[in-house]
Amino acid sequence: MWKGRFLDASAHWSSQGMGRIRPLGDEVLTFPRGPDIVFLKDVFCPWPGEREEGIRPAGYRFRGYKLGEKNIPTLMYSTDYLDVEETIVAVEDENGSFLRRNIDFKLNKSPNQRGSFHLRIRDVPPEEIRDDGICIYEDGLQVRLSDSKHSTAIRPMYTVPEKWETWLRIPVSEDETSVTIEYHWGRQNR
Amino acid sequence: MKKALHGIVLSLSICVSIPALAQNEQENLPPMADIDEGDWWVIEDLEIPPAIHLEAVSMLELDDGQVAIGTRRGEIWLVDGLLDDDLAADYHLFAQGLHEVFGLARKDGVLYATQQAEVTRIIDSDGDGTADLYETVSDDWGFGSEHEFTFGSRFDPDGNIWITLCLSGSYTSDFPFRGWCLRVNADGTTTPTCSGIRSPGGVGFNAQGVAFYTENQGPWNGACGLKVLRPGGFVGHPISFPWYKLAPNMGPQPAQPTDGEDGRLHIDVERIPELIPTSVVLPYKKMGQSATAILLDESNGAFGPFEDQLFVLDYTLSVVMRVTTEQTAGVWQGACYPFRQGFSTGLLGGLLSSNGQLIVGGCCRGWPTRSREPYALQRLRWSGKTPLELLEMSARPDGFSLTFTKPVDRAIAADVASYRMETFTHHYWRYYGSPEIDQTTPTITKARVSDDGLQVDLVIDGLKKGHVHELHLPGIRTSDGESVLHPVAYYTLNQIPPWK
Repeated sequence: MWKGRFLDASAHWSSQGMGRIRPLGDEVLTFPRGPDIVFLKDVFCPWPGEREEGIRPAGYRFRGYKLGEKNIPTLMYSTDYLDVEETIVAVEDENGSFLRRNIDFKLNKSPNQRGSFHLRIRDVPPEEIRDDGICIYEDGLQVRLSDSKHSTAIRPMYTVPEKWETWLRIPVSEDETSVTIEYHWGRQNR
Repeated sequence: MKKALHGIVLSLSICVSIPALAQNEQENLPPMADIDEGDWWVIEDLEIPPAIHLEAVSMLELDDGQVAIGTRRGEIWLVDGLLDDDLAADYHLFAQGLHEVFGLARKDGVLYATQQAEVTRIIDSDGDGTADLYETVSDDWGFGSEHEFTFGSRFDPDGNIWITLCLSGSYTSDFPFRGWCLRVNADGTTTPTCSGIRSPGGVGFNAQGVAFYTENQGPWNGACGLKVLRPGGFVGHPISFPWYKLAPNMGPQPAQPTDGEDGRLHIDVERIPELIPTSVVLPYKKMGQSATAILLDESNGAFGPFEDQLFVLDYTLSVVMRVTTEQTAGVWQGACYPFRQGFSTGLLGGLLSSNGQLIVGGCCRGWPTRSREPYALQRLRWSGKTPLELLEMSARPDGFSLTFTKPVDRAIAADVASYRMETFTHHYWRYYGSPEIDQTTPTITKARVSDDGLQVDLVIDGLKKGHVHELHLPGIRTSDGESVLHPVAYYTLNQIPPWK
């Protein structure tokens, strides 16, 4: 995620269409590659490995996208047990600009085993967790769960192999589940 | 001022260092032939609205004469009036944000686009005339860089789009099914169909509904060609073999080709049952240099006398070639013929409409082209006058049968000196392309002319199975003295027909 100008796609529109598309803006923050949402039998299971370029993670299927207001896409994909739709919108309020990520989960098949669904927020732990639940990272990113009707929280996880990350347990039920996460840049918004 | 912000997943492609096109590479392309084809098939420049950079690479005729155009820039335009007499038409942007739309199809009134990484169902769900729902039908193959082009057909009667997947950079198979043909059903079922593809340029069906694709000169391909996509087959380039492990329906991996100086496709075909010979070789430079879209004439004669024949576009030389196919002893083969030169950009996509208009489009970025327009949309229209042409060259047990578009002078046509034939083949090896090799000169011993002067059967001593038979018709005339407009044809003789 980044601020400012969008991206320069002209490399794909000239010559043979080669070239890496990079953000034109600044304050670029990166997220781990690989699947965001997984079912784990227990929290000591390692997060599935990074996606090899050109090969989708096992169980994942991209199902397309739909364009809503202002042509903002809602991305649709499935995992082994979930149908997922997620929309990221840019928001500006009195505290500044941030991204709001809404994710809808729907069970498409029961795992039929003990375990739980998790969303990996980042592959590093927060530097600080405030009382109001906002996670603050070393690079300035602030993440918080908002509008969740469920009993869950973003929290650091000590994962295998011996690494701290940040996960959110998703309380998936038979009904559609929805979580909204906000991503704020910089420490000025604390 | 607060900054606008964006957050999005980046679509990345691998940086590949491709040298800029050398000027002499473009200048070394062969000049146009000294033939005036304009009296017979007329090229018209279609107007493109100035605001549109239309790199048209796929086209589909819809209802009421509307045409859908897919572009390299990832758009789908709906165009009204393109098939009318006017040069201008009305353009409406239906979809955008796609990646190199090298295939358009329609089923139950819904458009399907083949783009680099997926086949997509594109829907206008709110009825405002613009797509808002892009459903992934299949992405059951790997994609990692821009040169992994994907070409898609229309739907076949079984509800499948046939897609051909270029190798990674056209040399390696870095991700699943690079270098394969897959069939994608509208329900998402995706079936591995053929291995061995190198660098395809288009995919389509002949009049019998059989799927073919165009292949380009390079490793394991001595020249460009039209190849049949027989399910279970291997079309020649073995670097895509690793993905047999993902395709149990295809059976075991075929044997490796011979390679090296001794490699010959028609000899390896006898040893490797899965190996499919090139159905119609498109001799390099003589016909084209980069074969692309395949168009079938279903215009009931509105485009001229070539009903049910195929037209193949060429990017590098900006020409349209004509192709006939036939099946002999279970093997597809046939002939190619020059048809029309002089288009103004590299041809990548086209449409032969039901009312007999051949619309072509493309661009000339990325690879050298003989013509220089950055992009163009042109229409080829039959003038209504028929030249003397070799309508079809077909194989016989003892030679070839020639059918002409109008009666030829029977005395001239009966004289074997009115013809000249040579044969050749290519190396079948890992190296890039091949010169023409193993040349022979068969002897035309007799020319039997039909009473109506429309057909000549050539009896030939020295037919060479597996060779391209290059036939020249320098002496053939009508009784009025009209010579053959394109007095050459190239027949790929994979099988000599048995006597019945």
